[in-house]
Amino acid sequence: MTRRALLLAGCALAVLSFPASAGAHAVLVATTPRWGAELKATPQMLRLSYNEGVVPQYARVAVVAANGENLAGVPRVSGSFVVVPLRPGPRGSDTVRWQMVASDDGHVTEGAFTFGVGVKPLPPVPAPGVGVPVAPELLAWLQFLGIVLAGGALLFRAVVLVPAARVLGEEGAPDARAALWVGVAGAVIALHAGLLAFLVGAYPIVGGGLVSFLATQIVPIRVGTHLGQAWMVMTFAWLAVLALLVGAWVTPQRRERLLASAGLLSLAIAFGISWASHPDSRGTLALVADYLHLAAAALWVGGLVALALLAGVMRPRARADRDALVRACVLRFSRLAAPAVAVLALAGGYLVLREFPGPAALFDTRYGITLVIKTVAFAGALALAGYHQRSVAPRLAAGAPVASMRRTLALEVALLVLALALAAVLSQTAPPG
Amino acid sequence: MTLPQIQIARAHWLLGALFLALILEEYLPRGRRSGPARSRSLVVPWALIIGGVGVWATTVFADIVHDMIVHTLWGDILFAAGSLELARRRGVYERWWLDIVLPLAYVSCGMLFLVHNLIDPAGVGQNWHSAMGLLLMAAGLLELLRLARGRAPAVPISLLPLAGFALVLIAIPVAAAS
Repeated sequence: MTRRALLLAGCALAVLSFPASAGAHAVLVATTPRWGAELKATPQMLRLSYNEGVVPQYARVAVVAANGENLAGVPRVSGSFVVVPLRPGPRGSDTVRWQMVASDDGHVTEGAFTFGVGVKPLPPVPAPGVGVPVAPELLAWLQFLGIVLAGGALLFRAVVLVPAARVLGEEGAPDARAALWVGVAGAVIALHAGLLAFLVGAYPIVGGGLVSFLATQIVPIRVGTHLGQAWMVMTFAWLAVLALLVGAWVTPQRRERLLASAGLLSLAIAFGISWASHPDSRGTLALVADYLHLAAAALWVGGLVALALLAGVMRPRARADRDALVRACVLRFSRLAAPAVAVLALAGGYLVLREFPGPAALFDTRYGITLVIKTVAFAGALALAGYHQRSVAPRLAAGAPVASMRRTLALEVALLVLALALAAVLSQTAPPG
Repeated sequence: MTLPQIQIARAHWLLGALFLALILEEYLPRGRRSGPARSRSLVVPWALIIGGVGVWATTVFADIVHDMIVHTLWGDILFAAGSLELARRRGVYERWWLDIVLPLAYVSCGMLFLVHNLIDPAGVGQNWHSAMGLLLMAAGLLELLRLARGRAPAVPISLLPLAGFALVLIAIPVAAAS
């Protein structure tokens, strides 16, 4: 058998391993009404069909109407079929939460889905009073960090470092290995934070305990919510980023092109984060503004992080060489960062004007106070960026030592990292009104 | 997406045959390979990387949360091991510890089979999964032992449990159909 044939066989192997099933559990295979259905009135019965028999005594089904009332009667179980009588309810999106115990193995499974009465159903909503075991803000911040490192830092290399090195007559840009590891770290962090963020987001929707959550049937939440849809696409995109980075590692002759592609794809993935927390009612323009805000922030922060790393990586070189390259990068970056900062400010300003009912909400709500602190951090970073562009860059161009901007650059990075952390908090907080 | 068990079992036959071909390519001596030198074939690293992506895809499409978590770890191990092996075999990365990457991948993947059984003790194919896990762990440990002794036989003994793993995969549809 040739190696090529074996490679093809390996691909087939991977494709074959895609479908997953959990035959050991009572898996919900069909429902009437089906999940996502839009009905004229509340049905008289809800029918659930499982792939194996369930224990009648432990069958739990709640159908929560838009007004919070539970419409479900006592479930009747016959083998693998469960029928639940329903009381009439108001118009709106009804959330079905179920928990079953398989009669074969005693395993508990649970899940949630929605159908609409007189309206298009909304994604399943979190159950009231269910806390989340991990801070979703931290996971959102880790995803932002992944985009900053893999997107912003790798694109800095493509559009700032490589051209600057070329202008200085260097053969190839330095620190390819450091750039690779920064990109890999960003992609790995974001890939895993994304999975955890999805699970943490799904946990309160199902509304059970932590142990029984392990046996949750996750499909309706994955398919029926923006959170799940975005996670699916982002997961494959991050895997593609990792594949590009591995390609860049093992093929030095194509390294720069592959690193740039990985950076570009990472920046595109930021759209998934915007989509995950975007209700349909918010409108397309807000979604686009949210994405531009995040992508511009990633370019700015990622560029600064890459600049700081560059100074460290270049340390073994002669001071004159090091200063020349860092100076060239600072000058080039300060020109390119200005449009990114403008986009960031415009998109952020639009979102604030659109989603804030009035100035009073800025100081009366958690969202408002967080936004004020974030804006102060952003303004501080912006002031430092202006100082760098107007005062430091001309001095560097005139031959001043690069070390003169080290402290202010570090402060700018710190303020932006703080702003990103606050942005992560805002992404998990409902705006007022 | 939920497939009937019999279809999943039949897919195992093909997976087993492919796995057998891959390990024979990796471990059997060939005329053009002089002595017991380390394999430079790119087939195994690529299969590991593609397998890692495939297993991550299983995470995405899994029905149950604990399946997602176990498959995530499987995917991470396969992808990382494949990437490191690929870099080594293409000559862009050389470290002494790269020799133990593949054996450790066998051991940890085998352990995950057992962990999967622990999380889901009444699941379908418990005995098969246990056998597969133990065979992979045995293969990894035998490889580690061989490396520790500095021996390089023409045909490593770890080929036996690896072939056994492939044969278990092939046997699953027979058991499911009977």
